[in-house]
Amino acid sequence: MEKIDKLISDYYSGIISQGEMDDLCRMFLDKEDVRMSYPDESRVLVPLALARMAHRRKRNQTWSIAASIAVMLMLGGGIYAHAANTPHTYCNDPSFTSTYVEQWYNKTLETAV
Amino acid sequence: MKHLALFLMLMAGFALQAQTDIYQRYTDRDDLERVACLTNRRLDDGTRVDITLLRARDSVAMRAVMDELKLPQVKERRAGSVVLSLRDNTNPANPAPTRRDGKVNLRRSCLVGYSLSENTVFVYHNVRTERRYQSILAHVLARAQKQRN
Repeated sequence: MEKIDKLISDYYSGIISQGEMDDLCRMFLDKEDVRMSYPDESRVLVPLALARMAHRRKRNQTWSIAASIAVMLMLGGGIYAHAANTPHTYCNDPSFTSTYVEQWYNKTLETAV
Repeated sequence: MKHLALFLMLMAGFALQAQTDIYQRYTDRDDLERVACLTNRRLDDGTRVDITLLRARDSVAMRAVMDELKLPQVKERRAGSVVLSLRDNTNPANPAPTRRDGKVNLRRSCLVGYSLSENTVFVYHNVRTERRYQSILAHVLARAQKQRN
């Protein structure tokens, strides 16, 4: 209880750090006896703790989405670069494979006018 | 995960849809026996080009294609001689675009040649730079030289 007294005192004096504020909020959320012992503080700190949790969840979710998009872009870029730099052969005659196209090209060059 | 897979498939599909404009324009023509393109074909260590091949059904159709593309026609064929023509990259029927100083704008040019015995017109796309232009020329001439020897 000394610890929570100190944290509440720091909270009222405005010199509480973010980490200490997290501890304080967690105590009020997790422990029924703390809420019973400090009913006035509880009315303020429990909603505040819930709001902080929601904010943190949202922030984590935002980072998670941003990281997913970044990974997708990197993978997509890699696949795109690889596919775009890989030789491909297209022919409107489906029976004409890339080997035949290559032979046709070579023969064309050798008999070019 | 499903979105990731879809996205990756989309990117791969987009990259693989790399047929040249000329291939897409000529692919359904009746007077052409076959149309093909080779993308990213390696000519030398630093040069990769897209090449389109158009094969006419016969010499008459070939003549018509050459007229359509306004290709210079030779009267006499000498062994190993090659006629190549710089044309507009977006439409080879148009002459190569020029810059303000009067020089050919290689950035927007392609190189076109043909083989009468194969009834085939070949197009090297995206010449872009002088170095790439020289590489393509060297590649074509080396082939012609090989045949001459």
